Amino acid sequence: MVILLCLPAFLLLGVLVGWPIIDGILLSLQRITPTAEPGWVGFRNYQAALSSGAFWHTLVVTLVFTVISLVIELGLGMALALMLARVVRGAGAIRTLILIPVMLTPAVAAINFRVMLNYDYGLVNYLLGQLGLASQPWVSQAGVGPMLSLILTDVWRSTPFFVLVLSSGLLALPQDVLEAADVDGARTWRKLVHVKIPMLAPLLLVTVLFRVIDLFRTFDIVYVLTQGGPGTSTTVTSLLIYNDMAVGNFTSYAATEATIFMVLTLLVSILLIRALKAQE
Amino acid sequence: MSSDGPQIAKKLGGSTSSATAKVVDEGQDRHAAPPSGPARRWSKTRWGLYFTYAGLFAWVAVSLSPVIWAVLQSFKVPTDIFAIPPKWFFRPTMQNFDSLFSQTGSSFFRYIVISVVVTAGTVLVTLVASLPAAFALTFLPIRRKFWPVVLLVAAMLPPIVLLVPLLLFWQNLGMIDNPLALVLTYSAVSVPFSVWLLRGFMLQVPGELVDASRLDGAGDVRLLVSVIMPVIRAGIAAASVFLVIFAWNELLFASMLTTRNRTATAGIVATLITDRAMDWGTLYAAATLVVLPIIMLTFAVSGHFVRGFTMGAVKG
Repeated sequence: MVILLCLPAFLLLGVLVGWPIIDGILLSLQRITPTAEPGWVGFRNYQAALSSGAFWHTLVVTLVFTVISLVIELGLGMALALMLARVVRGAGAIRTLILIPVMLTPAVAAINFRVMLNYDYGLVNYLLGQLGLASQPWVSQAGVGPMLSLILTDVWRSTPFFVLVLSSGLLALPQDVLEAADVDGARTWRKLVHVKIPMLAPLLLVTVLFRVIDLFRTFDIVYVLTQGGPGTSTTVTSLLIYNDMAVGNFTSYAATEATIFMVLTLLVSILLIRALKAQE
Repeated sequence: MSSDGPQIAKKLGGSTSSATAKVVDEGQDRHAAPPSGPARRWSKTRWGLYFTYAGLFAWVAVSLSPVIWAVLQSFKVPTDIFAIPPKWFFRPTMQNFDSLFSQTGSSFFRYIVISVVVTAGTVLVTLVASLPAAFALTFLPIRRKFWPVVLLVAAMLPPIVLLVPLLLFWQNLGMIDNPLALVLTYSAVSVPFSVWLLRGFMLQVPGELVDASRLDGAGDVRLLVSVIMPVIRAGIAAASVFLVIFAWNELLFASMLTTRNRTATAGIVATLITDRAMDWGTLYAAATLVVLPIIMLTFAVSGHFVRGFTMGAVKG
């Protein structure tokens, strides 16, 4: 009976996820490019990818993007969550409004940001000018601009996720514990750090887990906002794989990069899940 | 989390109150009463509260202004869109929406329809696959206790990994540009997370309910359909919301697996990337239309969304 109930899921997953993963690994062991004769080359693709500066560069880019975005989103999210948890009147409405950026199509939001960050016509530079600040070349020039723009876009988009989940967590904290802390004379900051955060730890870890994985595999906003440029300064690994496949048609090489990427992501996931389990 | 409360309270020397469990379930709208007496702190004063509201409003204003701006842009004459200084007051026009549907040979309308079909299909197929699986995982004796973790790990898989193989797969089946390919792909990728989420909800169904149904002689299917599913309604809604957002917004596979029968999202981005002489007015109009259903959905379900994730996260 168990088998029967799980059959649709197994079928879907087996055919469209399981088999493609195996197929991808098989492809990575071959040589399939627009020009060469197809054939089996063993681990040569892996050697090429792992010694390729381009591949590691994208991993660094992805890592930088992930870590900085995560830290900002977590910090901002926590601060806003603390604020939201104290609000009674209108909390629901505020929650809904805060939630909107999370649900919007990332690609479309990125299009909008691209226009707003335009050097000549963008709203952002205009406002900066009004404040007496210099116009910034957000995505047009190499430098911190493009990466900053990406981080900005993701922070804008994903901080609300933290806000909402953490504020729910905060509201669900047992009141008697908090009151006990109050009686003990714990001041606000102390109470926050030593009582609230530890109690929120499981929820925090799960949320961070999901966000980290999501950040790792960012594609949409990079594709739309910077196309990985200028040059390759913002090329995240997902984009590299996409370009190699869709543009360059290096089928087997793209499969190789994808497999390595998958293994890395798996490692990070398992590490984080381990940490989560240790908490319980 | 509801099991931590009493333990933590014990550790701190307090008493375990049954309010804890109630609080965890109804965390949403409970308000923390400020302590009375001389220990009132800045954070609990009136000014502290005003500050809090101000901060929240500031965030909401800043974070929603791009959205409002974008929607406004879609009602502007194209020359106004890039006007410097930006025009906050302008004569609104519907010409962008007009040209969106007439200029492109109404392929945008087709895009919207396809988006709706693909999204609805994804929700349907994913639920059909996930509900029984989550049920089996929760209520039926399973050898090997590792499945839930496997699910979680599977949910972490970067879709890009499937790009190359799936592209070839659908090409071989001649189903490129077929929305069904998208529906099945999206569903497959969403099943792990769905099962994980639904399982989180199912774990909260009171054991007595299940036992009572079994005593009534309910078989597995009856139990699932007549008892569990109605009880889990909120969870199914939460899962559906996640699915809708995923399917509606998805770009990577939508772009790769379609050429003419695109989803709205893929269509917009494709136009942006390929069409150099594109009309930003129509683009903004399209963007507004794509984003509007989502905003409406947000208003409808904001409560469920958070509850869904928190429940699944804490219990799963």
